[in-house]
Amino acid sequence: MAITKEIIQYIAMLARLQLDEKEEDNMVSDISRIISYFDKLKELDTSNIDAMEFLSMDEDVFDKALRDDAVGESYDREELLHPEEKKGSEYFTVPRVVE
Amino acid sequence: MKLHEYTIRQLHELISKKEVSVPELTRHMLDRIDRLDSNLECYITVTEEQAMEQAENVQKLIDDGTLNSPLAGIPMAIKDNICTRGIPTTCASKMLGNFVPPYDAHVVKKLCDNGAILLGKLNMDEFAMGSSTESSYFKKTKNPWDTQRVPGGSSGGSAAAVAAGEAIYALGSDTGGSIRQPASFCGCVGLKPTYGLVSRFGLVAYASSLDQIGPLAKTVADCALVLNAIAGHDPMDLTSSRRQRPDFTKALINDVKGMKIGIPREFIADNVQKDVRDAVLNAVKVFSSLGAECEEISIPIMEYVVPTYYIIALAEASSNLARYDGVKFGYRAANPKDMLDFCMRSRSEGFGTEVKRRILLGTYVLSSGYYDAYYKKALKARALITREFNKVFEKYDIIIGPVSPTTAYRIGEKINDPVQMYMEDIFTVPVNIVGLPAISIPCGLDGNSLPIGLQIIANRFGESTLIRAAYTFEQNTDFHKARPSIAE
Repeated sequence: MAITKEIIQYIAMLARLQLDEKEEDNMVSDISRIISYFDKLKELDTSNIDAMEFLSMDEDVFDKALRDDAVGESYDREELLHPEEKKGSEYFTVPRVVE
Repeated sequence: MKLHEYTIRQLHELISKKEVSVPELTRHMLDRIDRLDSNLECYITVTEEQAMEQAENVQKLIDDGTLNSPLAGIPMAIKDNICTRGIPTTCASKMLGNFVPPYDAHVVKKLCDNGAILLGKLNMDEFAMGSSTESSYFKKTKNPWDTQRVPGGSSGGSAAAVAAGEAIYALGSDTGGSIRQPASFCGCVGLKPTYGLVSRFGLVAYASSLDQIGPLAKTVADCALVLNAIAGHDPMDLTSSRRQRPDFTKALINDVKGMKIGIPREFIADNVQKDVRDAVLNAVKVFSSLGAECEEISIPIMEYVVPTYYIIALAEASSNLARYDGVKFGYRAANPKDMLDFCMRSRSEGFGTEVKRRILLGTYVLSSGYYDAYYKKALKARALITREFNKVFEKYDIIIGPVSPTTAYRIGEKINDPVQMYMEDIFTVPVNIVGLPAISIPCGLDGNSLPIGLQIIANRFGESTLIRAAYTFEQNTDFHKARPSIAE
């Protein structure tokens, strides 16, 4: 399927990205070319393949168990807050979301 | 020989015999960075004060006998997507330009425990998205062999710093070739470990099922020493393997007799630059003459590895990079109208073009209506690719081929052709898709005197086999001794 300007605008909205006119045009042409390259995969017969097979092969290797619910290292609140937050702030500030 | 020309092993000996002090060595490296880096631009941050302070401390610990790690006192540098407590970690992005991590990555902690001296943080492609280090928001790193050319990427700063003697070794990260390809372009050794061998805790996520941290150094032995320090289980990374880590230096054995080596014909096809192909075929001869059994094999699924890789990597990237909304850390847009405007403008002003392109592609392949056709299809292809590589390793110990179809190209030459750039990752991405370990080692110079990298790939957790093969090649050839004139 052809990648149109409308599709780019739609995914940009989903991805929370704002593109200017020129960026939009460039993305239409770049992404069209890349997606048609991705389409090569359609030639490959993947019937009867479980999409999760790759993960299940590693079952014996990777630690799937949850770790113990124990108190661990904690961080200093001030260090974790955004550098633009006011000194002594106890929370992250965002624009008003309710009237 | 000057201090920066030595390997980790040699410097360890000099430090042990008190022929050089850690502060003296660190000062030498910092002076070198000061002299060379305005031209090469490997570093985003140089931590001069901390480095000298660390050097004094480590020297004391060595003197009183509490520290005798082979890495103690050796100056190194770290790719700027690996978190360092109190030291900016920018991912070469405007988005993280103001980010100072409140914690150290697991690998950083491990290196510090071993007495490593951190010289600074190294340039890279923005969020590790690229193969030339040209997408960095801050600077363009030059290849020490020819400053008109790219160092490769995304760990371009790491490879260039090691090649130019601006660090004794470096850490990079490899999602689709980002350690091996720059190591190849800059003529150093770069090792991408098995997925799960090295903890990703504190590595800024790009594509979590593909990312691995690994070393870049002058020799195979140096890589083994660094890998010894950083590998091993970490409960903070759910995908970290619980296997007992072997001593990788025990694999530094100069012998490949009877080793079975597969050379996929897809790796030496017409799309490979002639000098590169010749160097790889010459390496095959070297292995054969040393008693290895080399055979041409075929991995027909190779023609599907690049689209499979990019669909999975970009899908994961679009999800991982959703966290950059301006709220908790990173770039914040000024004077937002409302929450949506705040989020959208923070992201749009904070990310560069390549990152936006990859987020959009990833969002597209995950979006309703396209998910099955692209993302799910790529997962199935990943299973098939894994099956094919598993089959090869039933019969062969290692696979060898080039790292990249070309040697280092000119700055600006390929930046406007993303499809071409993606396609050149063909020999490195299958390793990440399957989770295999692989190494890039120097195997010659092309007609322009630019380094060529030989890639050796082993089975999962087969690092010891990988290191043994690479070490044997290195011990029986002189390619790794070639240095760019700038490194003198």
